[in-house]
Amino acid sequence: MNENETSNAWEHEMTNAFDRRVRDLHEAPLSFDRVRGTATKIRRRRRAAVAGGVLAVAAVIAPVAVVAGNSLGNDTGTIAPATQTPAPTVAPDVDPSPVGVPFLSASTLTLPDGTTFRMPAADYTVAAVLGDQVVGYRNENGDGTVDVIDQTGIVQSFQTTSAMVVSASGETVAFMTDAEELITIWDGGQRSLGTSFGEYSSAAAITGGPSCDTDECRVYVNPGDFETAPIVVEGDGTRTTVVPDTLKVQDVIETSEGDLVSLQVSYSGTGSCSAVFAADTQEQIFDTCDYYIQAISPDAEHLLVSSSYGDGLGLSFFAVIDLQGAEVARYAPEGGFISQLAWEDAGAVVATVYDGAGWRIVRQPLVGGLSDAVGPIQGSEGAAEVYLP
Amino acid sequence: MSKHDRQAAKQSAKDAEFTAYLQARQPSLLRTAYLLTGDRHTAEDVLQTSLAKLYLAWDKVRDRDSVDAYVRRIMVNENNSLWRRGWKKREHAAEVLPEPDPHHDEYDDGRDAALWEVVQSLPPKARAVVVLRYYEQMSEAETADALGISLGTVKSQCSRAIAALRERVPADLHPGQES
Repeated sequence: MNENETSNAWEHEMTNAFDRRVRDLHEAPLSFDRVRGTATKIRRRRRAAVAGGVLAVAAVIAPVAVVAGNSLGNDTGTIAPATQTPAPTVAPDVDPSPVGVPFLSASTLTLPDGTTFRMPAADYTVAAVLGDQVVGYRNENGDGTVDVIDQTGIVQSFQTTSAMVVSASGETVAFMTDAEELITIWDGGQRSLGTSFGEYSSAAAITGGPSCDTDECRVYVNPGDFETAPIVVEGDGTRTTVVPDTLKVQDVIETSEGDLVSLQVSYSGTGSCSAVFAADTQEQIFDTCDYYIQAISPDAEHLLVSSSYGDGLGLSFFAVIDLQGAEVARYAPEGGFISQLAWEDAGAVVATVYDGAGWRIVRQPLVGGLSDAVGPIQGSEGAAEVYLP
Repeated sequence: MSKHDRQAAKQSAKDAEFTAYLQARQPSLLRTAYLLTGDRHTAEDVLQTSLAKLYLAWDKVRDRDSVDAYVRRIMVNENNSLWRRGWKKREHAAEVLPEPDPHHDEYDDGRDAALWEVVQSLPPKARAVVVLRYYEQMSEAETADALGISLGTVKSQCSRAIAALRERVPADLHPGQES
C-alpha cells in the first residue's frame, strides 16, 4: 500500500473500531428532571458570578440581564498552555498606555506605563501583575477560573464561583473558590483567609496589603444572598460585619482616616439605594436613591454613579456627582451601552462602551469633553473586546 | 390569559420540546461522550452538564438542525475542562460504573483493543478531533468548524493520531496484515 492507501486504511479502521466500541450503548440514563436540576445549579452559579463580577449592577431583580461581556456563555472554550511568557513584551521606555489604569484586550494586559503582557488565552477578563507572575481570571460557560501564570505557562489554577478582585495598588488579588475558600495572592505569597463563606459569596474588594500575611490586609466579602450583610475579613481571618442591614459592597477606597465603602443598602422593583460609609465608624457619609454608586473617586471628593435601576444590557449612562449630589459630568452613549467603569485618577473616569458596532474605552474628565482612549474594536454586544480589570 | 399563564404555557412547551429532543438524541450523544471521555461515568457527567447548558440556551438555539453540533461543542469543552482540572481522578477514584461491553466480532484479533488504547492516550483535544472526524464522519472543515479550530490543526491532529497508531499498534495488527 502507498502512503495514501495506508492512511485511508487506518482512518477506516478507526471508524470501525469506534463504531464497534459503542454500538451496544443504547441507553438514555438522564431524565429531564435530572438535566433540569443541573441547569438550575448552573444558573445559580452564573448568577453568583454576575453578582460578584467586575460589572456589579444596581438591579438585583434581573441580574443576568445586565452583564455584557462578562464572558457568561462565552463558548470560546479551551485554553492552550501558555506559549508566551508573561514577561513584559515591551521595553520600559515605550510610550505610556492610552489609559491610566490597566486594561485587557485581545489577550494582552496593558499597564499604565505601557508595559504589556501576553495572556495565554483571549478570555481573561481580570488580570494583575504580581512580581514575576501574572494572575488572571476567566469565565467559561459560567465556570470561573483563576490562573497563576509564570514564564513556563499556567502553574496553578483555582475554580471560582465569582470574579477575582484586584486591590487599587494592583499588588494583591482575592477570590472565592468553588469550595467557598477565600484566597489572597500577592508577589511572593498566597494565603487562605478561611472557608465556609456561603454558596453565593464573593470577594468584593481588597485594601491594605500587599501581603495578607505580614501586612494589614482587608478583604470585603459579599454574601451574595441579598439578605446577609457583607463582611470584612482581616489577614488573621477575623470576620466583621461591614455595616449592618446593608446588602452588598460595591467599592472601597483607602484614606488616611480608614476605608470608605460604598454599599448597596436596599432594592425594590423601582431601583436600589446606596450609600457611602466610613468603615471604621460605620458612619454614613452620603446616600442616594436617585443613582447607584459605582465607585468613589481616589480623593473621596466625587462619586461615579449610574442609574439606580438597571434593566437591560449594561448601563445606559454614567455620571459624576459631588458629595452634595450635584452632577459635574455625564455620558450616555447613543445606540449602545456602558459595560465597565473606573476612576482613572481623581480628575477623570474611564469606561468600556459598546457603541452598536464595536467596543471602546472612553475617557470623561471632570472638566472637559469625552474622548476615545482605545478603539473602536469591532465586536458583538455579548462579548466585550476590552476590560478594565 | 394572564402574563403568568402565558409564561407558564411557553415554559411548558419548551420543556416538552426539550424532552422530545432528550429522548431522541440521548443515546447517540452518550456514545459520542463515551468516545470523547473514555469512561462511562465521566461520559454521563459530561453529557448531563452539556444538556443542562443546552436547556438553558434552548431558546437561543433557533436552528434546530444545529442542536447536535451545539451539544457536541459543549461536550468537547466540558471534557477538556475536566481534564485540565484533573477532576476525574478526584471525583471518581472510588466509584465503579459498568463500562459498556465493547462489541466483539468473531474476526476481532485484538486490533480494536490496541487502537482504543492509543486513542485513549491522546490528549483530549486531539481525541475530540479524531472522534468527530472518524466516528461522527465529519469532514475536516466540519470538524474544524465544530471545534472552533483551524483546518490545519484538524489535519495535523489526524495525521499525528494515525502516526501514533502506526507506531504503537503491533505490526501484525496493521491494516492489510490480516492472515
